[in-house]
Amino acid sequence: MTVTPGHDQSPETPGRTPAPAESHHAAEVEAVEWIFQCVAGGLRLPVAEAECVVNTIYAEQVWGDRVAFSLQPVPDPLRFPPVHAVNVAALAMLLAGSQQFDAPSIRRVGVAALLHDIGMARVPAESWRKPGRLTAEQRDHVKRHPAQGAALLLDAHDSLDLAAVVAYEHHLRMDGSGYPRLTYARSAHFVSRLVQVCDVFCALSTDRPYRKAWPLDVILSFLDERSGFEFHPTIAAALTSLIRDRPAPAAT
Amino acid sequence: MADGLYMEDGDRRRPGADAAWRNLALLADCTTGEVTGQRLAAGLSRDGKATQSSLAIRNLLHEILLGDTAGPADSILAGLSDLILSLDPAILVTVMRAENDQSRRLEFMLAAAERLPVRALQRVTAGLAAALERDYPSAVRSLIHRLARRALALPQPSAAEAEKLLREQLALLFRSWTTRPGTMPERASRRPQRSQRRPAGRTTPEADRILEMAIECGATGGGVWAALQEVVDDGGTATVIDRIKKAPDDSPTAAAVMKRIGTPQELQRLLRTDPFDGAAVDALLRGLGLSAAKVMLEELVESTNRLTRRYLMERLARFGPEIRPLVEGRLKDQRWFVQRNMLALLRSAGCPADSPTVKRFMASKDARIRRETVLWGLDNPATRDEVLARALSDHDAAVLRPSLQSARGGLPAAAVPALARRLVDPDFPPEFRVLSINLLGRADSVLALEALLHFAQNGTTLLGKPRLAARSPEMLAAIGVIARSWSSERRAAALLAQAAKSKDPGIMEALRGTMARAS
Repeated sequence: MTVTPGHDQSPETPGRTPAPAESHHAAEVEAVEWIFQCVAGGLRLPVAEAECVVNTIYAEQVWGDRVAFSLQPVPDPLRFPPVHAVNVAALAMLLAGSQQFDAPSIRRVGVAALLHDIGMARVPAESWRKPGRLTAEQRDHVKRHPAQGAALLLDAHDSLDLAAVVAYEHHLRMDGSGYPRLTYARSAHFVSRLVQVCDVFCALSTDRPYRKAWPLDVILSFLDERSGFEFHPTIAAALTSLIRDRPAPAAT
Repeated sequence: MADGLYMEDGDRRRPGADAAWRNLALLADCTTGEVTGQRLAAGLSRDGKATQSSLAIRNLLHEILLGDTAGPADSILAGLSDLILSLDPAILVTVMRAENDQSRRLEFMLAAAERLPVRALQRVTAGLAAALERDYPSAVRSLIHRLARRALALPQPSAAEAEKLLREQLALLFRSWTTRPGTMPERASRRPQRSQRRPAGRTTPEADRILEMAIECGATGGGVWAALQEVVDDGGTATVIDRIKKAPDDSPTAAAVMKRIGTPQELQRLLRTDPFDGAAVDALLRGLGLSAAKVMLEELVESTNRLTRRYLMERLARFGPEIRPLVEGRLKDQRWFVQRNMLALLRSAGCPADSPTVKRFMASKDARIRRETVLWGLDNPATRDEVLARALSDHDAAVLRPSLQSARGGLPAAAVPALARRLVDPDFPPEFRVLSINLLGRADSVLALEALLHFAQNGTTLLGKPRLAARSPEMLAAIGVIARSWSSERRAAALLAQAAKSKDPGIMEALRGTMARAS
């Protein structure tokens, strides 16, 4: 299984804007959307249902007949969080597999990746879907999503400790910058680093209200350049090679 | 089910199989002939007694899925699957609702997830969701369907793995549906604490990390308490306390963590760690108050570590007089060191001595206990005289020493006879004689004079004049105090007259009284 961005910008054809990939994870996205709605509505996080999404993606990656995995397109900016969650989860699980994680661990990484932005469910939508610059207050809202996500994951279920850590740390960079600010100095967990790289890759591959998706070659260069400073070098290298070594992308 | 619930020879031998078959047959009112799931379902719908039928099916499902620990035979499970698939979905929902006991329902659903053939699982899942009125979105239903379809379509061994994944997923789903009372958030504190350790691995974050993160983000959920328990179990209470110290003052997590670890049990565990961390214990003590005293007393009694005992004595004393009832309760313990320590604690905690307790322990056969009683009793003016009167007649130097020291501040009249008697005892410790002589010099009792003369005079001459005792520190001291306090008494005056003839500079000095004052 290999990776193809939804807006296929292959290195051989930089700058080309392809048609969006067919949504083959529609049910997963719909389920995640429902999960986000539950959380946004103040209900408990439906943990079993989140695992169901991950298990389905895992089953497809392990036993499916799809040769190349395509990131899901975002049909509507409002649906970015669930689509992005599914994309990051799928990519993180592939990456974890390439790092010789065992099956249960891959699925744990998947759950953590799927829920890494769950804190955004508690952030007012106008703070993340607006096209222009965020106000200081909106930026503050957005910067609180790691802490909010970690808190609600820790409260939801004991088994979500990794997910909570990833939700909290996925904006911490290798060089110590990023957010949130830590009271106790420590480096981010390896899985947080892994999800971080996938998060950035998927985000940059997607059209957002305030910018267009980046071409694939630009994204890969970006990851290479910031490897060791912003991103974990081993993981960044693994992701870029996972993408560069993929077979020719299927027609989208 | 190859259309039939015929038992094979292997099935017939299995416990519970007969009952399951008989019930299947009874249920459909078919005592003879071929019994099929379809016929069972038809029989159920014909009899028109939906409630009774539902209960009967529920009982049947329970018997088949839960009745035999070895698990039902494949053919029976196949028959059951047929039955489930043949039932009107509404009847299945009624069947699911028939079980009111939540834990029993969960037990049954977990057995279904584990044992029912894949083709029946989806129907049961939908039935349970409807019965529990769970919000079961079509997307999740679709995902379950895809997992089931994959498990059915794959070749072995992948099929087995996919089936296992499906069953695990359903068990998780059922558990979350049947154990949660509602869909609104519950308070984390109501959930039971997880006691087992998290599995080690690359995807298991360190408990320390979770704790730090929780304090930073203000989380107080079950995951936090599981991590906290792990840190504490690993002897990291001091680490936890260190984290709390560095937390913002208004951190709700830090306060909640402190409340959780600030328990007598944790205090006991810390105190039993060798060497224990005094700073961590102190931090716990601050939050525990008097509830810690019981544990501390227990440890004081049982600890074999001298440093620990010393620490505990010092910290227990800080509780002050309010600790008295707990300490007095411990005085019932007959072990000498317990009684001694409790008496010492009563004293250092500032609990005033009382006469009954003093009397009781002054009568102890153990000098160590008597000594502590004396020290305690001397602190209280109300019991001091009584204590001195008893203590000065004690035969143990360790008891006498503090008593005599105290008597320097004033020898009560009641204590004079005791001291006078003891002073002339041959076994009276020599090192206390001079001091005792000086003390008796201040008393106006004739008993005191007799004791003083005992040391200053050695009988009389043939002419009846007093003969001076051999020169000794006791003799000089006795001469000194007699000269100072008893010079007008007849026997004393005669002795002093003899002493005045002495050329011994020591005796001359004693007569001038300087020696007595100096001592």
